[in-house]
Order: sequence, then structure tokens, then C-alpha cells
Amino acid sequence: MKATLSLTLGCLIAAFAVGMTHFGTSHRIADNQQSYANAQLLALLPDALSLDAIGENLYRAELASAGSAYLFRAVTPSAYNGPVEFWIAVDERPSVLGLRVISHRETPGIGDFIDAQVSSWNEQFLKANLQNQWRIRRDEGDFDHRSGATITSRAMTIGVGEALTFASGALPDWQHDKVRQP
Amino acid sequence: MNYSNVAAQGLWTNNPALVQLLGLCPLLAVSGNLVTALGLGLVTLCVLTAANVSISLIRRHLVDATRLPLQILMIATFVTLADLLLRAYLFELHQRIGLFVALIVTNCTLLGRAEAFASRNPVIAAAWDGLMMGLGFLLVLIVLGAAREIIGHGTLFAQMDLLLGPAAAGMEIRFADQGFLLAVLPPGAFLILGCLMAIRNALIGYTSRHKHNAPSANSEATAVD
Repeated sequence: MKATLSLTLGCLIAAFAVGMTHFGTSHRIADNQQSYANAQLLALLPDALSLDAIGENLYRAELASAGSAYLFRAVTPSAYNGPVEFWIAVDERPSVLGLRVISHRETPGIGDFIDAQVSSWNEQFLKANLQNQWRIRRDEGDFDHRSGATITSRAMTIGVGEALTFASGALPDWQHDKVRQP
Repeated sequence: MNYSNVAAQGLWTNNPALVQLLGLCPLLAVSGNLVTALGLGLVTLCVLTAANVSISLIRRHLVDATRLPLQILMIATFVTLADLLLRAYLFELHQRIGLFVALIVTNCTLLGRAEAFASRNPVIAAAWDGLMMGLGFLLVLIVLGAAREIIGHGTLFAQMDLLLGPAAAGMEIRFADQGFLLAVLPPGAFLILGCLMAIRNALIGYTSRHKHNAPSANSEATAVD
């Protein structure tokens, strides 16, 4: 009887503590996540003149160098610890103008090189277009992988390639203001 | 209660990482960089102390049948709280070590201290034990993190701004442009941890030889979780 009581009481107290902390921090956590995603979005195209939302997670930017760019949110196939979510900016050809990872669960120190703050590995995708072979060199593609993290590199390369393929199909719609969701 | 003895146990004679070999999973996983090692070490220290204190507070009400589940429940609660607080106040750091914060629950050091010390001792002693064991764990993490960062990445204090704020962004010291990849990978972590244990054993052997004035190969008995 005492055992049941103490365990029940313990669970109630624990649930209360977690609940209160969640209640107290959930706003801040959501804000953090949103502002992180926004900061990554702005870092994508530093020379954009304007940025207009034309759909959910879909933006059009006017570029200083004439022409428009489109920014959208995409997800890779499963990497080492699950999918990687990223912002990608494409021009009207389409080719890649920028890439920023928003969320990932790759192993710190090994798989987190996809984050632009950790390494410049992602920069190899800049200016790449659908003429490229969207595989890593080991799989007879055009892109380098990181040794020790082939799975992460492969997922990221394939994910960016798929995002670009999607963009090329959706571009005519976006240019005529018809929204096709990523 | 002999406080200096408890401190010596946590820091040296019964160090959770070097002697008890507990909590190896988070220890090896986050020690690739100094900043992540320091971050997870501090979180572990806080959770361990908080868990020790609360388990000591309810030690008279613990019943044999539910003692272990209750202790795990309390540890898991504190880990969840730490995870939420990190997300709210150190978001950037959480993006790096978030995966391993949840794993603190499975760090045997915590349940080990709860069972062996906190549930049998008064609150202040339990808090002191938690602090010292946590500090012992943290110090090993710092040495391991620094060694692996220097060898593996060729840097030290890289990205300290994740933990200390933007003012620490310039702390990075670069020794080499390229690191030795092995030190970053898990086998390198085991090798360096093994070296640390060897150094500790050598030191003990050296001091005991001088104390007794007679050469003796002093091999330390180690417990494995």
C-alpha cells in the first residue's frame, strides 16, 4: 500500500514539475525555433532586395542582379539520424543560390558539418543545376562527401537534388503566382 | 560525514569516468569538442546534484519494491527539465548536444550515486557527493574534449559562444588547419580515455612506490557497468 502510494505520488509530482516547466518555457522554445529558422532564411540570400511570402514556407526574393529567386523549405531522405530539414534558394534556371540547414539530428562532431556554421561543405552545391549528377562522387556523382559521414553526405546531396527537381517543375506556377506547395 | 573523503572519492579515488567507467556513452559521444563536452558535463553535474538532493529528501519514505523506479523517475524528471531549460535559454548549444541530454538518464553514475549514497545519507552530504561526482565527471570530459579537439580538429575553444554568449566567439585558438580524423571518431575517444586511465594508474603507482619505499606494480581494480 505504501509502495503504491509513494509511486503514485512521485509520478504526480514529476508530471507536475515537467508540466509547469513546459508551460513556462514552451513560448520561448517556439520563439527560438522560429527565429532560428528566420535567421537562416535571411542568411540564405544576403543581397536580396525584398522577400515576399507567396505560400507557406515559400518566398520570392527580388535580386540586385535582376531576376527573382525562390526560397522554400525542403526535407532530405533519412540521413544518419533521421531527415534533415533545410531552406534552399533557387534562381529561375533553376540553379542553387543558397542552402541552410534548419534542423537535423546528425551526430555532433561527425555529421553536423552540413550546418553552415560548422563547415562550408554545403557551398559545393552553389550554382549547381539539373545538369549535375546529384550523387556523391563515390556513387559516380558530382559532389564530395565527408569521410566518416557518407550516409549524411549522400542524404544531403540527394535531398538537394530532389528539391531542385521539384523547383524546376513548380517554377512556371511560381512565376505566374500560382502557389504549388513544396 | 567526512567531506574531504567524499570529495577525494568523486574527483580521484572513485572517479565515475576513470575508475567506475560509468556513463561512457555520453562521455565519448560529446567529447569531440571542448564546448560540447563542457556543456554536457555541466548539465550532468546539475542533474546529478539535484537528483541526489531530492532522493536524499525522500529517503525515509522509500520502500524496497518501488525504490528503483522512483529514483529513475526523479532522474528522468530532472533530465527532462534540463532539456527544456536548455532549449529555452541555450538554444544554439541544445542544437549540438540535444541528442545526448536525453541520454543522461541512462548514465549509470546517476542511479549509482542515488542508490549507493543519496538514499542512505542526509541532504547536505548527498548534495556534496553529487557535486563532487559531477565535478569528477566534468573534469574528465574537459580533458578528453580538449585533447580530442586539439588532435582531431587542430583547434581549442572553438565555438565557445554557444555556451558563453557572443563575447566568447573570438576565443578559438588554431594550431593546425587539418586534424587527425581518428581522434574525432569513437575509436579515438576510447584510445584517449584509455591513455587518461593509464596516466592515472601510473601516477598512483608512482606515489605508492615512494610512500612505501618499495617498488610494487599497483594495479587498480576497476568496476565496469
